[in-house]
Amino acid sequence: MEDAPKKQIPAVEGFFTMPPEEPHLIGTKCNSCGDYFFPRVESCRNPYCSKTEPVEDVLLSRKGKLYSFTVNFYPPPIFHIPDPFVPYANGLIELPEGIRVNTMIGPGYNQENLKVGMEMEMIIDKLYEDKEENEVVSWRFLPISS
Amino acid sequence: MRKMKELAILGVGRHQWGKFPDKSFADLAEEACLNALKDANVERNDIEFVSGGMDPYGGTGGMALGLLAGNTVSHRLGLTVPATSCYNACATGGWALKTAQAYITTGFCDMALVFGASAPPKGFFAPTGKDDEFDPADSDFQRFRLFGSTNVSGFAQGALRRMQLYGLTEDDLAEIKVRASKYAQFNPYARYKKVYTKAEVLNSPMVSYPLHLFEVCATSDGAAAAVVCSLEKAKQYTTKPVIISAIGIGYTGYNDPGYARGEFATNAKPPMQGTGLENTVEYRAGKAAYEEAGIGPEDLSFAEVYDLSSSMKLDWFEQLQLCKEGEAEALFRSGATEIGGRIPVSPSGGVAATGETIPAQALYFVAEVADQLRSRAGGRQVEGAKVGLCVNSGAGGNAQAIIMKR
Repeated sequence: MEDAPKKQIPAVEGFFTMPPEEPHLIGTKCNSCGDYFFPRVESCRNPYCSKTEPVEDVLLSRKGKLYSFTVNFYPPPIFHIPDPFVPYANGLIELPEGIRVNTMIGPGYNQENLKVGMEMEMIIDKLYEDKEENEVVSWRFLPISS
Repeated sequence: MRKMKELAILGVGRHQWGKFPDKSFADLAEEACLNALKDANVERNDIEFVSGGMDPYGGTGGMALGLLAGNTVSHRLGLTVPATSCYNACATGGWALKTAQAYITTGFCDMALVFGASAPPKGFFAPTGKDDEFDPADSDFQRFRLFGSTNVSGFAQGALRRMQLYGLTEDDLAEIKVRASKYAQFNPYARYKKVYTKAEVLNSPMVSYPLHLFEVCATSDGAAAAVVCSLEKAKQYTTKPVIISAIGIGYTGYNDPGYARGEFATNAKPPMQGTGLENTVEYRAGKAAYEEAGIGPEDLSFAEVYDLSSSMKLDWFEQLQLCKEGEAEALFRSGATEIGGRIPVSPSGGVAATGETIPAQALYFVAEVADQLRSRAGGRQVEGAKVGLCVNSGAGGNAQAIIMKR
């Protein structure tokens, strides 16, 4: 008999959708100036915007370009360190909406197989397991060619 | 922002930088302040106002001793004068100085003692809260939890971007540390006085690719202080004070590409080409200072920059307009930024030599510039230094460029 799939819990509420296929980050679009924000905001933060039209929550593009990245060999406190530890990549993804989003990358990616400008795609993946053995999940980006 | 009146520095004082497990931030501050008072040759009772930088690690278990830094240290010195404290992350010391400038030049007082001191825990600067008590909107907490993103991760992403755009090499990154260490050996306040070889730097552990351990700053204990007063008041004490001709404030623009370091995302439409240099707080601080002082980068005798990593040192060359965007690598390789070159940068050895002490670091550099302008810098002296600039930048969108002359 197969084990029942573990229950997935988002690491933060309201930051992303998590259907089995095609998850998205949830942002906000301003209908006055057209600017986008992540995570979602209650009012437009553009100081040059007339703010005459309301803002609305939107699903952000799942694909973007790798702006920059690093591979971390020493994890900070708080971070749920995988055992055994392997260096992990994080970086910034430039979305077509014109914002750059912080993200984890991989696992399995490092300076040998990542390049600035690569096409990347968002997934939802396990961050760690909580005490009740639920999978706490968050967003990551992976190169599309993989 | 409006131009403010010039300010005189009568004296500066520092505690040695390093790790001092038996000393609190207040112990460190007291020594630095006493050194500054002695250097200024003023009586304690001449001080009319105290402006302190908060130490977020001061006090015990979240109590307020470090947040009340101005009061805490005033009491230690036996000063019964108004005191206040501010916090602007790594730009704290500069803002404490700006606060004193504001109170002096608008007539609240004539003379003030300014200081910053801290004794942080070892290792990465990181939140001390618990995972099950987090605020989802606290991006500075969430970046550690969701992405494992330390401050060094952010520095490394900047370095990698320079490698891809401008041809920065791992060899350059190591050479930047090597050259800084050659000056650090002459700096009595430096924590690291050893002269490094390139091989030693490249063989130090990789922290966040492409940055090795010896290419990023440590977290240090330290304290720095200055006695400042109006130009009029200074005449009672000296015929030739060091003068602060500008404290240029940089603040985050909507399109600041550095904004995402402590956030989930940049605001909309950061410049997609280059690094968005002119939108950074650091560039804006430098520009404000040059305008306030009425001089340009070509008028500087030297600069002390906030080199939290080897690559950030190069960023500053461009942010302070010492060269054009993308030309910092060539400027560094040419030797123009060494002592004896066209514009020496960080003749003290920089933060690479001290490690960073958040609320004290900006004032450490003010003291360093003051010592250079008074020809007291020994083996790291820039001969004939007349105009010096020091900068700082901190989380939250804070940066300052301070221009001093004699």
